[in-house]
Amino acid sequence: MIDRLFGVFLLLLGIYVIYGGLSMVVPFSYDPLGPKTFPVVLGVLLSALSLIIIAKPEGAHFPQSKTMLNTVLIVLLLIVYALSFNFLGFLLATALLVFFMSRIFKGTTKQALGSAIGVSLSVYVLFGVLLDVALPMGTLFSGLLGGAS
Amino acid sequence: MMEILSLLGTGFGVVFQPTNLFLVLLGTTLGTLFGALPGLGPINGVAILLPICYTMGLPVDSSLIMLAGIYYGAEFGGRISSILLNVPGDAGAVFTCLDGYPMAQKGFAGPALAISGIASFIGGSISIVGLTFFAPMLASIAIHFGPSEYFVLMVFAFATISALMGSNPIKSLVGVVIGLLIGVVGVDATTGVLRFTFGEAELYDGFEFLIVIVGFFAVSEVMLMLEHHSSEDFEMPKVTRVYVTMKEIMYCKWTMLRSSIIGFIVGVLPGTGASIASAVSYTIAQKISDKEGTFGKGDIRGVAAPESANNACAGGAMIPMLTLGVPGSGTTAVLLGALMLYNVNPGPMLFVEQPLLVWGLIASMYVGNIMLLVINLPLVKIFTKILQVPYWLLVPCVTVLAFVGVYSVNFSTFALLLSIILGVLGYFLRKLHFSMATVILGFVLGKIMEDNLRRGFAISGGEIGIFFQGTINAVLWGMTLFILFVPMIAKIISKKYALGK
Repeated sequence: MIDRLFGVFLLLLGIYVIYGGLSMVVPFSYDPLGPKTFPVVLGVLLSALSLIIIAKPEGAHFPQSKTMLNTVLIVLLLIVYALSFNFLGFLLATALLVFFMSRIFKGTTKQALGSAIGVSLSVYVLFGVLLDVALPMGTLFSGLLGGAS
Repeated sequence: MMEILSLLGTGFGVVFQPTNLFLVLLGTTLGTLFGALPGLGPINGVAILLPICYTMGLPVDSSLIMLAGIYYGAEFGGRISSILLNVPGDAGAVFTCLDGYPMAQKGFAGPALAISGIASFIGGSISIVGLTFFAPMLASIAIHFGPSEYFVLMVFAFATISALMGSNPIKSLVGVVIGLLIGVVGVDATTGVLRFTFGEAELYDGFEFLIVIVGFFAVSEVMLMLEHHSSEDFEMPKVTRVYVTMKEIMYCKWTMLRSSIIGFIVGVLPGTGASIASAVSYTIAQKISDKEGTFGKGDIRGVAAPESANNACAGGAMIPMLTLGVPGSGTTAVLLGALMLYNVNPGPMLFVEQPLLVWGLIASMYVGNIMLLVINLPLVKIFTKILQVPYWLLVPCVTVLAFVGVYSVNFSTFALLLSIILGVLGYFLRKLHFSMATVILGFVLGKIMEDNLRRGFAISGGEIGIFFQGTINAVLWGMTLFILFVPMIAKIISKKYALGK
């Protein structure tokens, strides 16, 4: 079933690619093919192949609902991490991410706390200090310190 | 011949610089580690560490030396968890479980680790020697490739990929097309037209390679790891003597030699990776040697065969990548992408334009292979300890490392979001048995394929005939047809065989 749904997704993607490819405005082109042909051909190919998948779907094994819920949680965590990265700063955002991930992967609260502090600090020292990568300190804190950044 | 040896000599000159020597050691050690940890294989290892290499500002030859070390190191390390836990560390080590785990249960975990280490070393060595001599030969042929030959070569590569990779050829082909489409995004180089950029300025240059591999191979892996069992859940068998007697080695010598050659050949074919190499070599070893029915119950040759094959495969897969710019496996596709990231154009001119890079890499594999033997025989007990790292520590570490790498490329959180989206896509693709290696091959080769297609047409003035002219094109089309019909012929033969029974 999921295989078939994914086939429909691929079909829609294929149709969108064909549409997007055909509606590109090309003022001039040095080669006879131009930038449209390749994506349009790919779109046609993808649509045709997805029809085969829709016609003959295979069984897929997705995990039980509890694991599935955790999988969704992980994705949400990662998205929150990406969105709050600049605001909370590398250290706090990373510590929070590591803590919750550890918990999801069956660590105890103590273990999760330990890895949160350990991982965020050691990665910060390795990259932020030793390799001089500009990791964000967090606008939250610079705000608290009266806007000094 | 003499020329090759002197070039190899300059290669060793590159490797014996202290930094590079250290990077070979680091790469092979990390590779063994990534291979040994269940769930993480060579491709994840390279995907996670490539952004870090890039951030550290390593020059291209050093970074390639280290990343290649991770690749063949992981093929070495994959056997550790196969033998001890019955969980293959990576796809190439699946067949090592069949006899390795029964050996461990009988109390022969040590000898199983030792013979597989030696088999890996022999497989690796044979393939590196093969690489040294065949690669320059192929490169000298490849110099005669024009745009049309290049395009047909890509068609051939994708045909072998679809026919041989993954269980379902349709899905493999879909994987290739998705990869090609991801490669289309961005400003078209010749006309400046924006293609599928959704108005995002950060997509003008197309999908950043690092974002794609971290999404596909780190984020989706983390999601999948929820379903694996952490090694805490397994009971680790006792590792006793980690050496084998000369008699045991001699007992396996033909198996190792044969499997190495099989692995090497499978590796050279574009798109066929270690999993196919070890499957083929194990099956053949069983057909030839299994007279007492001991295979699958802890036969030492059943451990030697897949291990020599998957290591030989890693060396073989380097050949098409270095000479043609067409990767022989998923991991070499990532290595190829790494080269492009450093603005090195892969293809037949690589041997002419970048001799130090190519020969440094080849020489580093000789050195790395010896280091791996040392790492994997006397020090294997340390790795069995590291194997017990619990997931609650391992998974967050992997995630943070991968994200820091992606972030530091453009210092943008948009990149993080993009890799998460691709990770979710990758999760579904993998769950539904689309082969990820095909997607990454499509992505890496897409631009080159389209470029050569358009240049071919530009040369001929729109005539399609140019793609069928010349001997090289004829040979490539012939090979493509052959590959496409192999599964069909195999099916007919096996049906006849089944009817005959």
